[in-house]
Amino acid sequence: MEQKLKCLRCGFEYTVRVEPNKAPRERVCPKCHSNSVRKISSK
Amino acid sequence: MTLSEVEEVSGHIGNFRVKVRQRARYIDEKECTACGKCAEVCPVVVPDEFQQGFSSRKATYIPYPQAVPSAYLIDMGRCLGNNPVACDKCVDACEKQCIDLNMPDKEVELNVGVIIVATGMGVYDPTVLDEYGYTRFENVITTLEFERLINAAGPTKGHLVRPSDRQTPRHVGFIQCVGSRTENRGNPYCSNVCCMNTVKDSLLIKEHHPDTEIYVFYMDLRAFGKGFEDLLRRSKEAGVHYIRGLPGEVTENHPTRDLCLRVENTTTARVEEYDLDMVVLSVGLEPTQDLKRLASLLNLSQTPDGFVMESHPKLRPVDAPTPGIFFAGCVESPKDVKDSVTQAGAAAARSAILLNAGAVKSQAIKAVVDLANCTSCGVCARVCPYGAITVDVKAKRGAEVVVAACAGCGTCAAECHFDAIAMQHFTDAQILAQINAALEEEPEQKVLAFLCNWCSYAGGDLAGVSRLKYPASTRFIRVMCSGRVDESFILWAFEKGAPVVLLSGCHLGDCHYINANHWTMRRADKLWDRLEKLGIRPERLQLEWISSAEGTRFSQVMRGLEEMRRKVTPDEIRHTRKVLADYRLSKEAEETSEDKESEAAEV
Repeated sequence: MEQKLKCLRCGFEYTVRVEPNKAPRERVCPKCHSNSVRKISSK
Repeated sequence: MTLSEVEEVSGHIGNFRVKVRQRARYIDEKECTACGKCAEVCPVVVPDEFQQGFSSRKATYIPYPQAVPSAYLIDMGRCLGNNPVACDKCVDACEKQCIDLNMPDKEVELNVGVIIVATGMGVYDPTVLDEYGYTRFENVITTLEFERLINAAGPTKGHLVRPSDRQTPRHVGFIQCVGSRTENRGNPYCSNVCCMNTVKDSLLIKEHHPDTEIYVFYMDLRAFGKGFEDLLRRSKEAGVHYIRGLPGEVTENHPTRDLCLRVENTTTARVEEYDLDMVVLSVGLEPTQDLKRLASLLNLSQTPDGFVMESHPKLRPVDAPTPGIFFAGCVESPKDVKDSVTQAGAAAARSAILLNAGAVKSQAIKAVVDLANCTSCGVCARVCPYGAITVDVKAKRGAEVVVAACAGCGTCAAECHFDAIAMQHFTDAQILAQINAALEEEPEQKVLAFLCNWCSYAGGDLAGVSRLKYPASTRFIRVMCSGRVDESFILWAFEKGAPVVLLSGCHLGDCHYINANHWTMRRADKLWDRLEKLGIRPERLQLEWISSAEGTRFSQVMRGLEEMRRKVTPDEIRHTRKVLADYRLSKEAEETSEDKESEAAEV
C-alpha cells in the first residue's frame, strides 16, 4: 500500500510503501530529516 | 521440561502464571534406559535433522548424543501410526514396557517469580542466494553442515569429506557474510560469530589435513575478542589465504563436481578465479521464527532486526522492559558462546536478587484510577504496553492497575477521555501548572517542548554538557514518556499563546516503555488533523524523535524551531487563542449537558 506524506518542517511531499500489518515505522523527511511528517489522506 | 511450548503467560513480576504444553514423548522417560532396542526394530528411516541430513535416524530416536533426558522419544509425525497401530514393533521390543503410543500431551501451569528468555537463534537460509549454487551444487555447504562433517560425533566421525564423492577436499573455500551485512538479500547487521567460526574451522582443517589449501573470501574480518587476533594470526601462519572480496558466482564442472569461484580481489583490483573442491557458506544468524509469538506473549519489544530489545543497552543489558523478565544468549542479539554464558550468568544473578528479596518495590510514578470517573471503556487496558491494567468491559467493572507491573509511562492517563487516571508525580494539574508558568510572560517569544525523560531530555543534557548552543527561547517540560503528553496539554499550550510546540521522545523501537511512543505518533497525527480543522496551521506542532546520544540533533532541532517561531505572527497567535478558547468552552458545555442527561437518566 502506498502512503502520501508531507513534512511539516520543510513542506516536502513524498510517497512511501507501507505494510499495514507491520509495526509502525519512524517517518523521516528525506529532505530535512525531520520526524514531523504527516500522513495525507487521499480524499 | 523438554518438548515443551509456552502457550500463555499472565501476571506480573513475582507472580507470573505460565501455561506450558508438554508434548508426549510416547516413551516413559523415567523408565527408559536408552538401550536402543526400539530404534533397532523401527522400520521408519528419515533424515537426521541434527546431522543436517548427512545421516539418517529412525522414528524412534534420541535427538542427539548429549540430549537430556537420555531417553528415546517417538516422532509421531513419522511413525507408521498408532490409530490404529500399524507397526507396534517398538512396543514388542521394549523389555521395560515403557512405550505408550496413546500417551497424551500434558498441560502444566507454573507459578513463577521471574522469566528468563533464552530461546537461541535461527540460521540464515542461503537458498535465495542462487549465485552461490547452494541448491544446485552438492559440494556447496553451510557452516552448520561443515560443523557436522568435521565433528568427531558427526556422520563421518570427524573425517572431512565432500558430499558428492566422499573424497577429502584438497581446496576449500569459505565465503563470509552470507546473509549478513546486506540490505538486499539478507540482514543488515553483522552476525558477530561467523569470522571467528571460519578461522576456527580453517585451523581444524589444517590440523586434520595440513596440505589442504584454504581460501577465505571476506569483506571485513572482525576479530575483536580476547585471543581472537592471535587465533587469526595462527590461521594465517598455517597458510590459510585470506582474500578480500565477496565472490560473484560459483560454477560447477559437471563430470568432476569441482567448483569454480569468480571473485574481484579488492586488494589487487583484479577478477580472479579459484578452482575448489568444496565451498562453505558462512551463514549469518537470525532471530528464531517463533520469536514474534513469544514476544507478544511476554509483552516484549523487538528491534527492527527482529531480536528482542533490552531495557537499556549499557545499564540493564539483560533486562526486558517488562519487569521480571530477563534475556540470555542470541535471543537478544547474535553472540558467541562466551558472551552467551556471561549474559546467562548475569540473568541468573538478576533473577536471584529479585527472588531472594521476597518482595518487589513498585515504581513511585504509577497510574492511579479514579473509579468515580471510570466508564470501563477499556482504552487504558488496550494502550498499556505492560498489560498492567485490567478492565471488565462487559461487567462494567472499572479499571484496576497492577502496581507491580505498572512502569509509569502515563500512556493510559493521556488516552483516557474521562480523566479517570492520574499519574503520580506527573498529574494533569502539575503539568498544566508547568505550562502556565512557562508561558506566563511573553508566551509569543517561547517555544514549548515536551521531552521524554530517557531520550530527548537526556539528548538536551548532552547538548548542554557538550557546550552546544540552542536558543534561549525554548522552555522544556519533562515527562517520563512522550506517551504521557495529553492532547489537552498541547491545545492548552497553544491557547496560552505558544507559537510552536514540540513533542519529542525516543526513536521508535527504542522506547523505554516498550512501544508507548507509538501512541505518541498516533496522537500527533490526530492533533494535526484537529488543528487543521480548527484553522490552526498543523506545522506549529512539531514531532521529533531524539535519542540521548543525539545532542547535536537536539541543538539543530531547537534552532529550527526558533526559526519557525519567528514566522508565527502575533495575529496568528491571537486567532489561535480565540479559536481554542471557543473550542474548549464548547467541549465543556457539551460535557456538562451530557452529565446532566446521565444524571436525569439515573433519577
